[in-house]
Amino acid sequence: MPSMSPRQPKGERASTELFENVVDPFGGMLCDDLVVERSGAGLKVVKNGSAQSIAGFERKLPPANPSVNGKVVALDAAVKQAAKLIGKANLPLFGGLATDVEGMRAVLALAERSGGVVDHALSEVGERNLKILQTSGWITTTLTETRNRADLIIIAGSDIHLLHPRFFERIVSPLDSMFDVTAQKRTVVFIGKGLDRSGAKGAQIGEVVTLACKDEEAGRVVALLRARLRGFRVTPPKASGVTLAEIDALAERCRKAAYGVVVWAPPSLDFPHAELAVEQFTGLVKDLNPTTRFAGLSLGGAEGAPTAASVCTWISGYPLRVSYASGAPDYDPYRWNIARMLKDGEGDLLVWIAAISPDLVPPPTKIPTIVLGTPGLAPATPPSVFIPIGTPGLDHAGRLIRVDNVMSLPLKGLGRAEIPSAAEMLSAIEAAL
Amino acid sequence: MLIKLTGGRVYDPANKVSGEVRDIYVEDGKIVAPKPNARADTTYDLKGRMVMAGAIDPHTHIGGGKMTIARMLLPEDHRGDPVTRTDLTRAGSGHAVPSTHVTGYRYAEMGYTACFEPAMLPANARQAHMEMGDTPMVDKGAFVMLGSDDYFLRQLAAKKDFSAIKDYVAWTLHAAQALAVKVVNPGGISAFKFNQRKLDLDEEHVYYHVTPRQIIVTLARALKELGVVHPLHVHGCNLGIPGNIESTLATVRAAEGLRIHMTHTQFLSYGTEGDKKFSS
Repeated sequence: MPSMSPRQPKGERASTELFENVVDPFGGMLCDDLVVERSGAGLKVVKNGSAQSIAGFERKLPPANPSVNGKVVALDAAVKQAAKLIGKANLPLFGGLATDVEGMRAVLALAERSGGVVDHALSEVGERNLKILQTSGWITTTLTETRNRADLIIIAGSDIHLLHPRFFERIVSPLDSMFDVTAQKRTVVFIGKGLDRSGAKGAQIGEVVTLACKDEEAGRVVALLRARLRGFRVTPPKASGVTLAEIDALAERCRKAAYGVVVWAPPSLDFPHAELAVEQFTGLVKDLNPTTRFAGLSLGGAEGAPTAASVCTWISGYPLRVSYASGAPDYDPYRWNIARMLKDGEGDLLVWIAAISPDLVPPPTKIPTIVLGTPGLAPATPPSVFIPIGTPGLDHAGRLIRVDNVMSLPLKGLGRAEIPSAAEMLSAIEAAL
Repeated sequence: MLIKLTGGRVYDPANKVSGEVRDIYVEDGKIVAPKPNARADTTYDLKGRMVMAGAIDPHTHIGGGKMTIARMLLPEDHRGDPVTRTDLTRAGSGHAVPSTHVTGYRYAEMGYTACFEPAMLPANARQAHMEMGDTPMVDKGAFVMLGSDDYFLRQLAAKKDFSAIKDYVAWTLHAAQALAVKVVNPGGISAFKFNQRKLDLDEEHVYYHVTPRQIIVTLARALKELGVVHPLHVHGCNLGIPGNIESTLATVRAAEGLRIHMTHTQFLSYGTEGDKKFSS
């Protein structure tokens, strides 16, 4: 195991190094065209940054040391104390899970060994999709296929431009596409009056159409559209902000599209039973595939959620919200929801992993917490044990799974700081049990 | 370290041994003929047991994003088959698509020592290897799919010289860390993206204007010239369609004497007999 002394972020370095094809771990799209310079002053995004990636890469790390009950200790002591607490716990909860593939592998090994629960901080958002995937299935596409083929892009009730500032630039509006679809100009349809449309610009964009319903009514509007596509008589309510003529025009665009993509972002669908909206979006895709090609594209992916869900699935058999208390994985998305368990007083120890953004703090709780966090993470309740960990793609190499799931990206270590990875620390804790 | 396996009934057709009770010696991971006065460091008594070479599954979907999607789709299958951890083995679940550790253990329990993922997408190779990496006990490899690869189809459509195509095949094998090349409904998966709903052996892809026959022959020849041991692994045209025996036979003839491995041919060999016009 690495050196036991407390770690500090790296100080001045003599050399400057330029890194190309850098992957941005701060956004679900995992853009891999960043150019980043490392100098004595830290990291600087030289090319292709967004506000989010620049903030992430250029953040000055505050000094951070391992601590037990607020007191700075040697790393070895923090690891031992964490192992002691986990060993004593009846039902440890492993949450946050903003980490890379190796980190997730280590979480699952430790959770299994200690009989704990595994759930990602943003799993409630993921459930909006998962419920539909598991019950009706869906057809989805990738970022690249969308860029190369989509002649009709429907943004459904989600502010994609706000969540993914480079989506339009890289996927909707670029000059080139593999099958010359951009030569014929894309049509972009926004279902929702409050969505930022400023990204839909450029020579390759033909028409931009907005159906001015409330953003959270997009599911209902798509349901009307589906009914109309099946030939039913449909009367949009006056309050819906959408007319029958608009629905019919959209239906015609859908029928005529060669490759339509329905885009939504689960984080935007922040209302009760949002999965019913997702069911309409994916249902529209299914309705159109017998005659033409359509696919869905879901753009959440923050804080390593796709990585956590996929690694948990291939190792346990279930996509998060798993309990190993019995020794075998038990799946229950209602019971093993860590946010709910903490509110309802279930579980007696919270182990929180947050390696990506410093904002992913654990929920307030009275039970003891062990936090493996990026320096600068400031939990509301002081943790019983704090261990600073590196960010994959900045401090150490790693792998992350992209929001469209097909692609996983390798991340380089850029040498920002010499801090151990989540995987190293979780394995050390398991070894100390 | 010399290991002796004694008392087992040995079946080794390659060496014409059939049910003989005899000793087997293993040293440094290899079966050896022991020196005359050799003393084994460890002896295992295999009386009442059979000793055979480990089985190989040359086509088993064990790794890749599609497997993880399948796992996500089947919580009820997994709930029906929970696997508890032991001191030596990891927990897991599942019957139709088990979790990765369970996959390795089940194969080992059945006497398999090698398993091959036959449908690795180049873009998803990293995940296929990560999942196989979490599959213990058995040796693993994968076949990379090129039959609907846009770069390859563009080369074919542009009638690129054969050495360029061979280079791309070789590069893909290396980049994806694959043992062999696979085609699945060659050209057909790509054609479907252009809303072309079927692609017979000699039918042209609506965009690239190449045929499955060209794809198969080109890749089979490339692999032969590159010296790749396993021949092109072919999941042919028209899987599941009544009467597809015709295109399967045509595919065998189309290979023009080049080696190809026809896989899961049962689903590609249907006739049209009987009142349902669907026979096997």
